[in-house]
Amino acid sequence: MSDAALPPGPSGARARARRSPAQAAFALLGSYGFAVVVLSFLLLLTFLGTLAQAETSLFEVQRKYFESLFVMHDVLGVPVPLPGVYLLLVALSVNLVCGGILRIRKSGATVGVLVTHVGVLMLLGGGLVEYHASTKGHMTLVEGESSDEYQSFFEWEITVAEAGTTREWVLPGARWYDLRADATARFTSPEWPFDLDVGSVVRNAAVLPAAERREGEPVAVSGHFLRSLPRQKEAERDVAACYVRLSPRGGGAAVDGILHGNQAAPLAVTLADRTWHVDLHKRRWPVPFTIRLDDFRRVLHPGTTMPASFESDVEKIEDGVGQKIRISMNRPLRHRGYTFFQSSFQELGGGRYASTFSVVRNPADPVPLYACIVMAAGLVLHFTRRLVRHVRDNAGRRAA
Amino acid sequence: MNNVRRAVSVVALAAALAAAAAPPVPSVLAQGVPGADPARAPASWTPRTVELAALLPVQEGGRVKPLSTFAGFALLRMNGRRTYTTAAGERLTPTHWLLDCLLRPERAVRERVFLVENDGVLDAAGIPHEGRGRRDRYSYEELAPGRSEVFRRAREYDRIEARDRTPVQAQMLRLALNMREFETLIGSLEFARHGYDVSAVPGADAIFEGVARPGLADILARREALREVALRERAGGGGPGGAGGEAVTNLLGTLVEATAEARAPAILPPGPAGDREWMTVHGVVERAFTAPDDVGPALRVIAALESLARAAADPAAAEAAMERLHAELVSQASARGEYARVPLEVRYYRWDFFHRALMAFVAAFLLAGLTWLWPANRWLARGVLGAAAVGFVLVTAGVVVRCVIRGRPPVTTLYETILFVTGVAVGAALFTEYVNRRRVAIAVAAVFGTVGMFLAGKFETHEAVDTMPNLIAVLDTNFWLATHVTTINIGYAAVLFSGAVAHAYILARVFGLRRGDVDFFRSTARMVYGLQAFGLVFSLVGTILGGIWANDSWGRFWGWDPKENGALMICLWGLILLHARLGGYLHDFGFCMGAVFGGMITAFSWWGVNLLGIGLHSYGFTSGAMFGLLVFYGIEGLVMLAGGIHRMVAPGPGTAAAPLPAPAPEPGPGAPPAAAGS
Repeated sequence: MSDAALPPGPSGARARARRSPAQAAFALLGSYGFAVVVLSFLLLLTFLGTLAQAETSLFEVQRKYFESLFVMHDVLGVPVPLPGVYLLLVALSVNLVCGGILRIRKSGATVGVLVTHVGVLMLLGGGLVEYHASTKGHMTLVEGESSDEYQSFFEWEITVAEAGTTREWVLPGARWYDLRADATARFTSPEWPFDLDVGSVVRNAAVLPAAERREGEPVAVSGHFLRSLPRQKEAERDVAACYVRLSPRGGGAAVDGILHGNQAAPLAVTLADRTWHVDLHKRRWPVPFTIRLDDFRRVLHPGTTMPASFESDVEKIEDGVGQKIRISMNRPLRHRGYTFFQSSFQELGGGRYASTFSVVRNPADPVPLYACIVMAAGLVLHFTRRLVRHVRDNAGRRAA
Repeated sequence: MNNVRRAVSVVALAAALAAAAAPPVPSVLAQGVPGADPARAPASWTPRTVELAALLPVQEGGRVKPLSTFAGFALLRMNGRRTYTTAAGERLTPTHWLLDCLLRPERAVRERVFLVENDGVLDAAGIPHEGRGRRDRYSYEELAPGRSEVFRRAREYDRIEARDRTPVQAQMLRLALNMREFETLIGSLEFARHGYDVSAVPGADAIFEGVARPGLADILARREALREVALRERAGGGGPGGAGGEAVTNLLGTLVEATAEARAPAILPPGPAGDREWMTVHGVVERAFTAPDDVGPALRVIAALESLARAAADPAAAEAAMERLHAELVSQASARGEYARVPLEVRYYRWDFFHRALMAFVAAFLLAGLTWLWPANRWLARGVLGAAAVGFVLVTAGVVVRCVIRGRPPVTTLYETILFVTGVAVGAALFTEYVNRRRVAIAVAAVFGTVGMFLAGKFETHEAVDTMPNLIAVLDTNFWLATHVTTINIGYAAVLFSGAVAHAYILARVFGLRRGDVDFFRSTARMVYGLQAFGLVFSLVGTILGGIWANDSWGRFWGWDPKENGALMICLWGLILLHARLGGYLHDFGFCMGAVFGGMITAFSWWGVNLLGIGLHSYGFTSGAMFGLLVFYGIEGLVMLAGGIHRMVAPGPGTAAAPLPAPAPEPGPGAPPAAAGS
């Protein structure tokens, strides 16, 4: 069923006319035309997203262009609707399955193409799993410190806990971070004696004394208010903040407070003789083992200030058993689905360092490698076959 | 990476400028030097002296390299060329020039090695330049009257963001840096030209065995005795302020001052085997009296330097002294396993692979031009092939030698991408010519090779820093450099060369050349297609390998970094072209137009994203590249515009030249539209 082999003309037109709507849709979704359109939009969005990074943080660009279904892109001040890369990748996957796997003629001549398409699908599938199921953050340790959790670069969460207990309720940022400025989200739990309202979320904020408040800025709480600051070029430097209100369910005066991502201690509220801690911080994930930083080294090329290597000597402690491991650039620690990469460091003075590890948990971690092998094999097979035929044809032509 | 190195050197020199609000005038100008009269200047160095000097190992920029490499880039920074021509018309090597700087500064200051691109710099600094060209070369002696003003303005301009500086400001800064570097060079062996007065040191006769003015090495060799003198004086009630202790302190101060400029390059291999950092003479003097290091080997080198400096006036004696210095340094560096590749690097620069390759490609291009006049002449055609093949061999050999010298895969810097991409493209052209034998690929390869080698030369001259630098930590992995970087650059080469060949198709159509020569158009289009396919394979695999590397190093496969996006755009455009061709939306002409556009996308990925100055990969050379990139886009835009206009006004395919048959052999889904446009 090689449509490409069909000459355009009456027979093709008649064939198209006989198709049911489902067949027509299938043919359209699997067509070269659809592939070209999707790929062209992908190219355009990639280009626009690249240029946008000169002005906006990569985090924001990713959210706007690469992780969205639709984009409103400004052209000379006029918003132009475009499909987002997420939607385009879904469309590409559909096109690949319909056209590149199902409709394609199965023969020796198409084996390479088929294999390549399978590889691309593997890659897209791996990307999908990574996007939805992976967690990425960092663990920063001063020499001698240890930790068994890592925190997100970008995502925020609010936690509620009763003082003196270990139980903690987590309000993920997905449920309040994107609230409109005038909207609030209410959270309740049967175990809380209050309802919690979160509102006036500011993505990068400073807490200032009420005396500095200007017209139009949020009302002050406990002598302070939140001032919205310009977003940072590196979004991970933004410090989120919000107002919260704890309304006792049994009646009584509500308590207002401010949560700020850089606050040293959580907001403490006492209601009916029970003290509750409400805190805003970067999202955290536990690790099923402990990492202790023994030593960090920055090696320079001799006689220069150019770094030759960053190395962290750590001890992985699991079930009471320690194991000494060195993490350096290009040599991460991989264990139980978690990967620790040497990311950055801070010099604390007195010869002491803090080392930052990127920590990733990605179920699809090895998929790109396998996909790459499959794709390379398919492409090499296909184009080598064509090249050999071309060389043979040329030789034959010259001989003739 | 080059930018990092450049930034480091600029910062270092700028710091030197800032620290020295009024850097001392070099003694050679302040005091005058015996023999300063050019008529009485000593005879030139013997060839053997220059040869041995070129082979001296030094450490600079974190690696051990020949002195000739250090000299070459220092001269390139100042002179804009690796060689210079004396007033007498003698063409000298960088090593010869450096020897003059180190050992005959009175001569070096009179040589016109400072390239001033715009005489507005001289006007601003109050330096007279009547009768000289707008762009001309000056000696240090000619620039010296405006020295204070040059440094004052340079400090002022250094506070301006690089992108906001005017050309004159940028050149003033560069001139100041060059003058400062030159002063360091001519002052670096100042310590070795004379002995030191030790008469104030108690017991000097006994310590120095009657030598009235011992040299630096002699003094440092007796540092224990001198320390004892100082301690004895202190114990005897003289204290640090006592006459003997003060004499030793003063002597040490004199030595530190005399070696103040002896800071670069590091020429003294360290004593402890595990120590990676070589020492400068200044560093040894500073540490000799305080650290317990074994400086014996360093003192032997310093003694040899002193012998050389004092023998400078006599070519034969200088040669003998250089022999001793060379033997000592080579012996020490070899014992550390750091000398083996030094001679090869000297030969690498002497063989001048890439300049010779440029000549070969230019010859191939000229011969290709002649074949248009005499198309039937087989010898001309063979000449084109031969010259291009010679160019290819030279580029390949140069790249291979660089790999051997560095122990690295072929591409680790932006400069090396130019060499590698050019080599791969010309190699692909030779293969295509072997398959196709239409003389199109080889003619285009001549142009491509010429442009590539020209760009490589311009890049090296503009940057004027070692093109074999050390790598930053994250790039220090031969596995990924050999796989991802090499693969993606092969992709760049193929896609760019495909676009270059496509020009032949489009321009032939636009200008009505080869009218009716169906075979020419057909074979050229096939070439373009084949190269696109080749490029797509490597671009795709290279891009994914880059993701796998990123996953291995940073924990994410894809980060939408501009360089990653650029590579993805090349892949996407390749896929668009191939699928549009399969779908019948593009025929030969449209495919060739698309290939030209693919070249523009590749240029964006290769150079353009670096100009954005964002992302993990923005490490490359950027200043000056914008203009070149805009020129490229302008030319390519014109070609596409001409092609587009031709397509609109000229008869469709099938009349001027028959199109290729529909690409039936490529099986796949989707019926071609009834009226496929190209």
